[in-house]
Parts: sequence; structure tokens; C-alpha cells
Amino acid sequence: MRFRREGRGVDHAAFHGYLARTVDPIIEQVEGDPTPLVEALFDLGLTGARRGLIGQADASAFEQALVAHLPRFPLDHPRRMVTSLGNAYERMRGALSEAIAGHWLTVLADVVDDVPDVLEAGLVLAWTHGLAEARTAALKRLAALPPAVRHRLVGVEALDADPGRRFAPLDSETALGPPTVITRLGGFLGFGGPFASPPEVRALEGRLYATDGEVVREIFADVYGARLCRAPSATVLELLDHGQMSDGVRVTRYGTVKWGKQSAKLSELEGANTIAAIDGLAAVTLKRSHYVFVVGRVPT
Amino acid sequence: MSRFTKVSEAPTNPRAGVKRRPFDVADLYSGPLGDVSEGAEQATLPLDEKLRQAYFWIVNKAIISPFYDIEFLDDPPPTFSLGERKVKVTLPSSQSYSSYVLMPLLNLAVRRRCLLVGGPGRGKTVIATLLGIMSGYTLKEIKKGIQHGQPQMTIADLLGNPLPSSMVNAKSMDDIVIAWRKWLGMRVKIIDEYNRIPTRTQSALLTVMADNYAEVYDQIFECPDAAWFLTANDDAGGGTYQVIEALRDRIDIVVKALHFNTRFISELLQRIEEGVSPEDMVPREIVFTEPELARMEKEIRQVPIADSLRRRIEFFASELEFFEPGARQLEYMTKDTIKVAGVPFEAFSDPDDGASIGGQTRNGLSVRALMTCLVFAKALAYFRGNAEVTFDDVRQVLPFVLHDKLVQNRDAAFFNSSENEALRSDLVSWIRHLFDRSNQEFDRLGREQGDEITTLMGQFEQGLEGLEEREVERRLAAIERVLRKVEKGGKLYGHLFDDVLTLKYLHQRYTNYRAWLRCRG
Repeated sequence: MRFRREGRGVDHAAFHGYLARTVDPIIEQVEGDPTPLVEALFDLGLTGARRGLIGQADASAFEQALVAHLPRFPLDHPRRMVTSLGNAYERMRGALSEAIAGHWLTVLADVVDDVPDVLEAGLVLAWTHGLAEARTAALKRLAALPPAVRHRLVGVEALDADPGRRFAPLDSETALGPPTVITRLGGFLGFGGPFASPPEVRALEGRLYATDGEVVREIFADVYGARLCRAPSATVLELLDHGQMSDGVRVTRYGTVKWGKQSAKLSELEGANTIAAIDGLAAVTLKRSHYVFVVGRVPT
Repeated sequence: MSRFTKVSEAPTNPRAGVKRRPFDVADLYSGPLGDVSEGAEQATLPLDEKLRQAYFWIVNKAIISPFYDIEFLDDPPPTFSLGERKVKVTLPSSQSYSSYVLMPLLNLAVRRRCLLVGGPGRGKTVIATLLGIMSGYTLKEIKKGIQHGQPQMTIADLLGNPLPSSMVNAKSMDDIVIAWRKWLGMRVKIIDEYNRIPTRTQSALLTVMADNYAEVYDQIFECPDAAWFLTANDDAGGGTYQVIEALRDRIDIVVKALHFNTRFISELLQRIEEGVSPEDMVPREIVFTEPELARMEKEIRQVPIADSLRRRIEFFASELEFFEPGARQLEYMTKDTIKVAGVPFEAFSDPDDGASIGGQTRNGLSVRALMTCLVFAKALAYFRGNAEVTFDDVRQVLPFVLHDKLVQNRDAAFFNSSENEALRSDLVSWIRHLFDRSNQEFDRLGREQGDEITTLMGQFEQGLEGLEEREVERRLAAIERVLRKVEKGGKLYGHLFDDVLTLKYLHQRYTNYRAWLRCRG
């Protein structure tokens, strides 16, 4: 009855399959009244089917992960937990990959019993799985956790307070070497990137942005990954009027990066036209490239 | 295709200031499968931002509308005087808008009734359809829901039919089952060419518009809150049937479709060549869910209006209703008195020869019109991301709300000068002119700085409980003192009319209270 009312656009057979192969086994593993959990999974299935999270004839990777791990999560508020995990999975899948999203859910399920707040732990693990924009919030959450829990989540009990070591593993104490190109982000709009013309970079209020004059993207990068994200809070005009080009880090048009006392000639950066930097992270753009080059210092 | 479905990036109005907020737990766990995490509401884009994105998508991609007739200025703008008549062209220094898109969009947000007027083929139905799709309906549902006015339209065509089987078997009216038309249950209602609907069917439509229910054979259908869009080719009653006055009065806002700027024919050409039409391309990002629409309407109602601005609106409205020659007793000196009496306006001598703003109109503002002004001013402020309604929000909204509500006294001498004759037909500019004049007068009288009536009302609003007779006497004397001042001023103006009535009201309340005190001993 509910499916007829709310299931517009969802394949009947595929949804029936989802109920049988995914919802049913989960319910069997959970104690207590299953009704709220069934309702939450029903709704998740409808929305998930429309977004391709639910398989047709066979179980999708998401369904498999749910069956394997969901019963291990606290389900006092099933709708909140199911929807939150679904949303986070979908975000990780879109931002990184299905495999990473699945791994994230597996690791999170493993630590469920050891952490005070599952969703906060999920945020920390999302960061360590490559969701670079979660870095600031994850570090803040980690700092508030007991050392043992910190160790369980990121493998160290104490966090290094030096923000300049963002490209060093958390357990590394080795000195940082000269600047190097860590990765490149972005690309031409026609090939699936965000920029219609070669972008420029600016730092504004401790955050790093790239803009081609049309769109603005925020740059996030550290040892776990690098990402360009939509930046609803910054405008092109604001960046061009108030953004800073560099902060103690320079690049010549021949690709030589001067970072404090360190210097390196990086052939990928020949033709550089803008550079901007914040805490241990520099971004460089070239005059004729639609990419943003992420530059940092890694342990020698 | 993606060029047409691209939505403007936030923030669409930088001065609205979207707060810079780092990614956090709520961002990870909120998303397309539902927002249930704490703080998820804050994590999503604010609805005013979404509303602006919807506006810019319509303006830039859907309706080719290179008009910016709702002008906002931050700094003194560059102005030019063109032609022999020195037509003033201003280049707005702040984000300005096209009324033809903005006003219907605000109508969707506040769920009121909007009339789109303009010649055939100017996109009236298209914009209504787009807004329907933005409310979550499919194009097919919207097309099925549009009611096309035509001279043979019956009440059954409009509302629904009784099921024949139930008619045959019914033993009482209660047994009759009505097959209600589906559009009655929609949150966006579109009536195309409403002035082609026969008068009797218009009355049925009036019930739905005014009271939000439909009635057939004693059966009632309760309609949900909805945004209405009505279209008409001719605003001056050129449809097949004269629109009944009560129905016209229910229309909250009137928007005119402007002409097509021939410099943009290339855009039309591109659409023909690519075979695209805007209704098929509404991006999902700008589609509002039912809870979002309800929340947005609630948020709009919460936008505050400062007392000082409210005073300006009161002053303006008070100037319009007063008509001294229409009665002997003060309370009846209104334009409504002569309208109800059926006496032609021309039968009275014009006391100020149409110089005052009251002399330029044949009616005042109804309570409904005032409420609509306030609602749409709030909506415009919300759309612009303002923390409260500004003077400019009110100034820009008034012409569209009062367009059909304020009847111009075209015989007023004011319109005879070559400078003002165009205002006979350009009602938008005329209403703006009225508001500007009213505000000049408000400033000239120094009402912003000191207003004795406001002080007296403020005292009264604190309540009468525990007030001693001596204080009551003092306040009564103060009221009489203000009235003496008005008396000395000579001529009675519209704003004084309402002031005097207010003073009389206060005097009466205090007098009654004093009598009660004395009776109590």
C-alpha cells in the first residue's frame, strides 16, 4: 500500500528484492520491536533506489555493507542511524569511490563498541579515508576524545599541534623535506572538471580557494587526501578583491617554489601564475592549465 | 542541455552574507536520503538562497527577461536623460530584479494569488508552469492541473461532477459522491485566461480562492494552502466576461509581462535549434519540497518591520482614504462613503485640485490590501537576505500589490501636466510616485523624530490597570492639547484624519475608564 503511494518511479521487482535480501536479514539479527527499523529501511530503500544505491536483481555494494554491518550499530533511533549512514555512504561514494565508502562503513562498524559517539567517530574516519574537507572538524573532535579512543581511530594517542605537518603521517616525527607537488585537482569543464578557463588561487580568512572567474572551489588537502569542494560562502569578487596571493611561499614562472628556507625547482609548475598558501598547504596554478597543483612538504 | 540546467552558485547575493562555516558532522550525515542529524537544518543551503537560485535560473536560463525594473541602489547610480522628454535611465548600483519573474516567485513563497497580465505569447503560462514544477510537480501534472478559462466553462468543469451511480442510489444529498477535479488538491493552482470564465463559474472560483474550499451538491472539498497564478491577456476587462469585483479584489498582486527585447532573438534561435524548452529542464536543486515551502512561508512571516518604517506605511495609507467633501461627520469622510452611496466622484468639488496624493485616487486601501503589502514586503526582504524589511522593499513591492487595488482619479489636475500625463497609464511609476510623495511629506513634517500620537498610543498600550484618576486627567488633557494644535493648523489632511480618529478613540477609552474609577468610588 505504501509502496503504491510513495514508490513512484521505483521498480517493483527490484524493491521487493531489496526487502527480501537486505531488510529481512537485518531484521533477523536485531532484537526488540523491528517496526521502526523496518520503516526506516523501507524509506531508505525508496530513496536509495532512485539514486542507484539499491541493486536491481542483485544486492548492491551498499546493501551488502548494510546487511553485514548495520546490526552492529546502536539502533535506539533507527531512522536517525540508518539515514545518517546512508547519507554519509552516498557522500563518500560520490566524493571518493564506492570501495572507499564500503571500507569506511566496515571500519566504523569495527569501532562502534569503543567510541562514545558513533557519528563523530564516523566523521574522523571519513577524514582518514580521504574526505579532506572534514579535517578541521575531525581534528577538533579527536582532540576532545580520550587518548585510547584516539589511538583506536587514527593510530596515535597524541596529536601533533604543528599545522605545517599536514602532509606528514600522524605518527611521523621525521623532519619535513623541500616543497613538492602532492597532487593536482580540478580540470577543464569539458573533460569533467569544474573550470571553464585556467583558474587562479587565493587565500581568504585562513581558507584556500580557486576560481576561474565563474565558479569558486575551496581546496582541501592533507596526508589523507586532496579535494576541491563547492564553496557557497565565497564569491569570485570577494576573492579577487580581498584574497591573498601568497603567505611566505613564492613561486617563479620557471616553477621554483621558495618555502621559508626551503626551495625546490618543480618542473610541473613551469608557467606558474598564482600561488596561495595556508598552514602547510600551497596551491599553484599555471597560465595555461585548468588544474590546481597542490604543493606541500612531506617527511624526508 | 547542461547549459540550461546550470544553477547559479551560492551566494547569489553576496550582501546577504552566507556564513562561512567549516564542514562538520551534520554535513557528513545529511543528504539526499533525508536530514535527520542534529543541526542538519543549518547544514543545508538556506531557503532564501535557494529562492534566489530559482530566480536566477528563471531569469538567466528559462524566461529571457533582460529587464531590471525593480531597482536597488547602494551608491548614487549613473543616470542618463534620454530623448526629447529626458527619460531618466538609471544603472542600478545594487542587485536589481525583473518584476515579471521575481513577483510570481515571491507569490509562490508566500502562497498568495498572482495575476499575470500581458498579450498572448509573452510567457505568462510558462512562468506559472515553471513555478508549479519548482513546487515538486511534474510537467504532466501541472499541465493537467491548468484550468483554461473559456466561455462554456461550467461549475462542474471547474470543480468536479457527482458520480452518476451515487446520484441514482442517493437517498439524501449526503450520499452523493463527487469526483473532485485534481487541481483543487494541488499546492500550485493555475487559471489560464480567467477573464474568459462565465460569471457564474467565476463565483464558484471565488469561493475556492477566497475560502479555500469547493462546494458541489452540499459536498465540501477542503483545498490545501496554495499559490495561485491567474493569467489574462487584457487587464482592462477585455476578456469574454467582465471579472466580478470580488474576484478581482482577491488577487493579491498583479504583474505585467513586458515586451520581448529583439536584441535577444539569438537566444530564441538557439532554443529552436537545440529543441529545448524551459519547462523540461528545471534543475532538481531549485525544486522545493512541501515542507520547504511551508518553512519558507513561516520564515518570511518572521521577518520584522521596524516601527519607524511601519509609521511611514501608516502615513501613506492614511493619505489615501480621507475625502473631506464626502460627509459631514468625521468618521464618514472617506472615499468608501461616496462609493457605497453610489455618488459619482465628479459630483464633489476637488478640495485640493488633485495636488495631494489623496486627490489622485478614488479609493483607499482595504485591510486585505494592507496585509498583502506587508506580506510581500517581508517576502522581498527575505528574498534579498535582509534581516528586516527596508524602506526600499516596501517601495518596490507597493506598485505590484496596489496595481489593481488603487483606483486612479484620472480627472485630477495633477495628471494634466505634460510631466505627469504618462502616469495615467504607467500605474507602477504612479504608485511609486505616491509613496515617494508621502514620504517627502512624512519627512517634511518631521514625523520620524517626534510623533505625539505614537507617544500617547504607547502610554495607552501599557494598560489602564492601576492608573490613577489624576494620571487619566493628565492624559485626557494631553489628547485635547494635541487636538487643539490640529485645529490651529487649519486644513485637514489624510494623515490628520486618522490621527484625529485615534485621539478620539484614546479619549473615549480614558473617559470610560475615568467614569469606571469614579463609579467605583
